[in-house]
Amino acid sequence: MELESPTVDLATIPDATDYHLDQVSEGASEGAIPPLPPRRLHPAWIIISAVRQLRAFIVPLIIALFVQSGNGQIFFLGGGSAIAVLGLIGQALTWMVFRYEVAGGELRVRSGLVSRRERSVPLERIQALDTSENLMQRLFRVQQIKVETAAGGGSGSDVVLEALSRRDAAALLDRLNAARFRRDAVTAPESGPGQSAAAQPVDVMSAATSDGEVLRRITTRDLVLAGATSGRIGSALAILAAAWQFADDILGDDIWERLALQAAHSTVQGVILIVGAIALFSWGLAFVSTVLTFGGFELRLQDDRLIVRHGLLDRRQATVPIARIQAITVSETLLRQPLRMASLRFESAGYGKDTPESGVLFPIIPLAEVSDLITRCNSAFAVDPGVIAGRGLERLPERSRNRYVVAEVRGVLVLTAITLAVARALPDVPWWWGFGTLALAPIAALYGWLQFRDTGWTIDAGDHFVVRGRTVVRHLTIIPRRRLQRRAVTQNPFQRRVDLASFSAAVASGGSGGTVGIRHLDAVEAEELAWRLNPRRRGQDSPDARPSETSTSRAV
Amino acid sequence: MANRPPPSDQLDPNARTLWRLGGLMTFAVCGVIFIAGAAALIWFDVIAWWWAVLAALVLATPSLLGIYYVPDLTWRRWRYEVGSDEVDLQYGVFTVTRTLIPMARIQHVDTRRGVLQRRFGLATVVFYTAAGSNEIPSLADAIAGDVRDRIAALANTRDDL
Repeated sequence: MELESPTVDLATIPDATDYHLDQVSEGASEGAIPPLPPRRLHPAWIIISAVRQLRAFIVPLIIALFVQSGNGQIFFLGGGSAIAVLGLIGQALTWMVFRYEVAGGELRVRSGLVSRRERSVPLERIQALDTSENLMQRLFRVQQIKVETAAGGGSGSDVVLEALSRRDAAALLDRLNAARFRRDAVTAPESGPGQSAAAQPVDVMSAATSDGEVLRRITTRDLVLAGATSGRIGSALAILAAAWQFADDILGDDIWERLALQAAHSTVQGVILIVGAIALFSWGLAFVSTVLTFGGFELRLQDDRLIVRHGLLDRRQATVPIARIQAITVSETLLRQPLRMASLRFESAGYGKDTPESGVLFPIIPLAEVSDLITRCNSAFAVDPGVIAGRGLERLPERSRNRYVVAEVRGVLVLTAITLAVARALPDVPWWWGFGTLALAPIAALYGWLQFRDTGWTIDAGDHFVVRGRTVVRHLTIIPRRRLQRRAVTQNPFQRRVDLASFSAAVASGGSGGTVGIRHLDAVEAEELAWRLNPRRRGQDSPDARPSETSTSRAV
Repeated sequence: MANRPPPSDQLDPNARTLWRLGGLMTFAVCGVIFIAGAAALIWFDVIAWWWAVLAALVLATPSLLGIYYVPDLTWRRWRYEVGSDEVDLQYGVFTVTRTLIPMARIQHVDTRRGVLQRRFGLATVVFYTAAGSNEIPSLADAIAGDVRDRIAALANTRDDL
């Protein structure tokens, strides 16, 4: 299954001989993955990466152009183009030495201009594949493929191929998928989706998703709702702060003096107006960024993998093997809770929390439809809708309520002590203003009480460990018992006095999201819970036992 | 904690001496830093010499008591058991933690021997799951090797992430 590369003459690459050797040895083993000869990225990578590297220079350059005049401008233009040309040459050389190939059951990537780096990722170890196209990549009709491995959560553990022509991307995805799903590439060489995609250069995004069953698509109404209630106001404020900084750089210091002058004359109404405007603006930004990120969200089921596809400007596609999903979390933000809407995340060993949208199974869905959707995604997660709504969960004992409330109020008291000290130190402020933060105490108490009220857990009939808790957002996490990596019960001296203890459990995860905890439950109950979650028989844990487990959960 | 019997096995008694020695070494390093700092402050007349002596006594006495007594408490609380389907650990002086790790989830096992540990014939067993690592510190060499082999034999080596 030889593929013609449009850009690289294979005969000139010395490693092509290695490829033939691999092919011979691969051919001998049964059901082997057809190798993919060494190959470069699409030449567009040179420009894409050069632009990415030069982006840091562009803003100062533009400012310099505005500020300088005459000879200065020429100097900066010359310097700028010199940097750009050097950057381009550097990137071109880097592109020349970069190779990726699939051989011997591994994805091999060679890179490095000065110090050579070779990485081999065994295909069986690949946790998830992400395909994405940002605006720049779309312009050049190339795609980015990110190969997620289970090794740690660090950014260095993933292989990122930044620019592949759609045909190359399809060919590579075909190989990687063939290995990951142990699809027999020999018996069905003609009907594979990647095969047809490789034969005719079509958009792999649509080619790869043209088969498989659509589990759910986001509706316009839900998208608008998701944008309006998104918790992304924090990131919107960050953008606002960056814009502010930028304005500061360009406009210089005198704007602050003018603003300060105006502020001195400003009224309370003026301040409220400004704060309101900032809030409205960041809400608008949050709305737009959510809509752009999750627009066209589509969840598909293809064979034994889920395909998550979304994005209006930057398009992203993640392929997740169902068998590697460790846990599913249902999150209700404060704004969505009254609407009975939630978002769904999955925890997979390959995923860190590097981007807010990584690991999103569905961005917004009515709580009542969650059970149905996750059952159709993965029957190993079939949980009764009642449990997801929080019915039948075991609750905390009454005496632990105080621990939750006291912990939050204590935080406010510490804060008050600090503000008191600050208020005393400030010359023009009466010291008793420091007590102002005490007004937060009722809110903190309410927050503690909400945490207490919402915490609950159960081991349901389908052998899932279901835990609900609240940070600000209310989370309900579903973990099949056999996915638990470790359980722990801890008890500090304060808890010992009132016979309480905390329970925690961990699943395999690239990020920190793999741990669930229940604070302040009855000590005996905590210990019993840890014991009840013991995997009963070892035989059940092997992957071969999966179908039988699936059928038992269906029976629920 | 409550009604479950604690794990059966204890660490090597020599662990206490090792931990005390480690504590003393940390103490020595901190002491040198303290003396250097105090000497400088006295030299520049920032504080009187008796302030430095007082501070040294206030800091050193509880530290030395802690260095002597805490390892004993730690050792008494540290218990482990390598069962047929789980590893059971319990440790902690003030906050007591009990951790259960299914054998089937353990990816691989190591023994480690530090420079000091080697002098005492001790070793640490470290075992890794997909959600992080756990360790049993300071077992006698032979026992550590035993525990490692037992865990390795009982652990399901198949990767089913």
